[in-house]
Amino acid sequence: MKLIILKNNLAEALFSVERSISTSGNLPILKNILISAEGERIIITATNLEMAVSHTCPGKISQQGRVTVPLGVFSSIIKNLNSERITLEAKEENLFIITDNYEATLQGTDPKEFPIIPEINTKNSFSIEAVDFLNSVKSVIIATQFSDIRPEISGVYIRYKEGKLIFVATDSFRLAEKTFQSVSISSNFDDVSFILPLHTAEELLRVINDSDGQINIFIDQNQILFSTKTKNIISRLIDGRFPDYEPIIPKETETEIIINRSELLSAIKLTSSFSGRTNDIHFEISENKKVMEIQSSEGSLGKNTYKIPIKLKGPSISVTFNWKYISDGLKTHSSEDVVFGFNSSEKPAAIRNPKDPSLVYVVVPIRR
Amino acid sequence: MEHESLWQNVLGEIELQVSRPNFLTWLKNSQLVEKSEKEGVVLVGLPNNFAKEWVKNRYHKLILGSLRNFDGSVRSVNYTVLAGSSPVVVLKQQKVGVKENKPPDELPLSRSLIDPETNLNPKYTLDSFVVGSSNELAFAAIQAVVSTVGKKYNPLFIYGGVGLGKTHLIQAAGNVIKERYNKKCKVLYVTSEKFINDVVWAVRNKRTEDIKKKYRDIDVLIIDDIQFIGGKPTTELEFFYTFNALYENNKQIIMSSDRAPAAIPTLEERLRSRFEGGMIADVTYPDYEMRLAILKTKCIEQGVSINQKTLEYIATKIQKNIRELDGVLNKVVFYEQYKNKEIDEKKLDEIIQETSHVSPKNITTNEIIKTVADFYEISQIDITNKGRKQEVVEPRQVVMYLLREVLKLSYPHIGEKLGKRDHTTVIHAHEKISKEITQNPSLNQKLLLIKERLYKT
Repeated sequence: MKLIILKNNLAEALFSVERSISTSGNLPILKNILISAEGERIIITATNLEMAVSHTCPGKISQQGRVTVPLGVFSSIIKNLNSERITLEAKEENLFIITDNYEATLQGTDPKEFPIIPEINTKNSFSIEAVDFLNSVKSVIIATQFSDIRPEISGVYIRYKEGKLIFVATDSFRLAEKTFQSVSISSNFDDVSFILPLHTAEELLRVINDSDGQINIFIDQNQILFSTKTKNIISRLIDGRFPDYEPIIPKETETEIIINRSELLSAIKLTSSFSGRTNDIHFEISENKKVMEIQSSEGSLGKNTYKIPIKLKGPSISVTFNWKYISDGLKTHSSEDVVFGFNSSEKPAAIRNPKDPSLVYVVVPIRR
Repeated sequence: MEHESLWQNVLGEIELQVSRPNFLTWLKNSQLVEKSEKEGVVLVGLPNNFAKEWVKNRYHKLILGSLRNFDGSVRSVNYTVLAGSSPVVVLKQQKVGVKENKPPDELPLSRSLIDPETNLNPKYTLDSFVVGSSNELAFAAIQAVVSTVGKKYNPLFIYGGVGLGKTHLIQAAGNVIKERYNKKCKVLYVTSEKFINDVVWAVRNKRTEDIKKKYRDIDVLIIDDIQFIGGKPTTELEFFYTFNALYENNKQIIMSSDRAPAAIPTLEERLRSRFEGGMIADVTYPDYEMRLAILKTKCIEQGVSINQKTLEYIATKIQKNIRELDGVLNKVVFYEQYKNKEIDEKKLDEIIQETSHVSPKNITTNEIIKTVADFYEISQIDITNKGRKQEVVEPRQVVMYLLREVLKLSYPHIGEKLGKRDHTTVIHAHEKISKEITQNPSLNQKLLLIKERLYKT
């Protein structure tokens, strides 16, 4: 293999794949990337056997072939090179990195040892603008976290149904649901749902950006492929049934307040300095007042109260939350005001955008 | 050869031929999923798509060759991805922070039916409660309480043995009150364990006012298995205050226990007298007709039909525990649906055996005699002697009953052990006690205490 490539193009490809190598594990080759120059294309691939990312980059191929080298060393060489043009040449298992003033020989491994990236059945697919997909994932992903105990919720649940894409994430204490509807989604089936592992979702947000245009998504039985012009991300799907979450989202709420989002966010940040280890802060809403009191106290520290103007509809209520969950929920929204709806101090509360019903964030109060 | 052992043999052979990391990564979690004897096709399951591709492309010849070595009938191998296999790489370790001492409530993702506000399970209703002579008093008391919350029969204390429907009754009362008075009546159902935990939490975090608020700001307090608070002084004290606060404000208190207040040895006097101040109702063993009625109700609830004879048989065999009745019925229903045919008597006996047979630890004849003698404060010789004094008759009969029930000894053998008595004497004693315990609560109580001692030592 022999090729000439621009440093920036190579660095971009390395950025795409760098988090998809395996850092632990038995198989040392999983720390490697595969550089293949076959046909007209230069493709860089990395995998950790959970997912694989491959990035196609432009360059001039003068001799075809493939080579696999450890990502760590290769990446730090490329990052620190100051020449624009880089020649990569493979001789047997070794890779020569050559510029006009630099030369390195990097010991590689037999490319036959590199894992084979699984084929995916391309029968079921849909496509969507990258920017829409990324924004939707971004607005719910904060509500989930990695869990060994409940793998079925440590990911983003995505459902396509009748022209609508629904994104849901939860860690069982809060839940975010985003509905995206647009004519720009095209698909060849009516109803499909799958659970995307959290790590894959995070990688998608990191690797794919708005300039990628359309993403084509292919769904197989237990794996999924996200494909753009230059990037292919293949991942396993989480095996399991996502909980029946719909009944949890309160359809109506007894007490509703409209409140300025950024002011509430800073109020929570301020009052939370006194909250205890459970991160609890207390909302006190009374019918005859035009303000909500946000309180927190810790026996050994002291207490504080913040008054924040609200528009209230419904009866008084006092309710306690984990402030981190509220703050996360407010951050998923981007509107100026939010509607915060409560049903008693024990049932889940919902944060919505008054003008756009597509995103809802549900959070459970702390009882007692 | 069994699938598993065949595959183990194959893996053993392959392990020698590939490097250790390769073996661990690609083949460790593999399985032989199925093998069709006729065509000789073997289906091998692998943990993920990567492993499937790799094994298919690189190890196919090795696997096929090795399979043939062990089983000549194998012609070809196919590969599949195992569903539900765990991820190969753990991507991110969850940070283990400071353990929170009060876990926040979760979203009801598993769709639990329990109402978070009252802790009541809506499946318990008064309509589904089968009333018979053994529980009509308790049922009537509950009905009175439901219609006159807090005014009549306060506190209401219901006691009875395990699996006789106490929880059903008191939860149903809560559900009815909640429904009838809608939102005006705040109901709270807790087990005494939950109450104890709350007290412990509050004491540790110096927030006793929280419990006061939680438990005193309600209209109906229902506590299950109250006997467990006995012997826990702080909890008892806290409960005493709560009790008084509620009682003085005419709030209804409903409690259940496995024995009468007077029979909870560790309960403080002032609590006991308060428990006894209201209405005490007991739930005893259901009679045959009632057991049959319960079985029929359960059948209707589950929407299944079971042969009348089978139901009658179950009702005769299981006498002391409605939960066991339920368990046997469920197994029978499962069996019939699974096999798609009616159950026969032999299988039925097996199921009843499995469900109701508790395997006691090794208890000997002498231990039983000694425990009973100690309990009645008589000497062991009195039991085996010929004397017919009033005070030794009951203990002797109890010993016979226990030897028969617990150790399943034969009547003649029991007679032999207890001073060469005739087996008819033993039969009479066994029948007498069996009958008495359903009618005489104090004897039942004694037997429970004896059994408790017996199993404790």
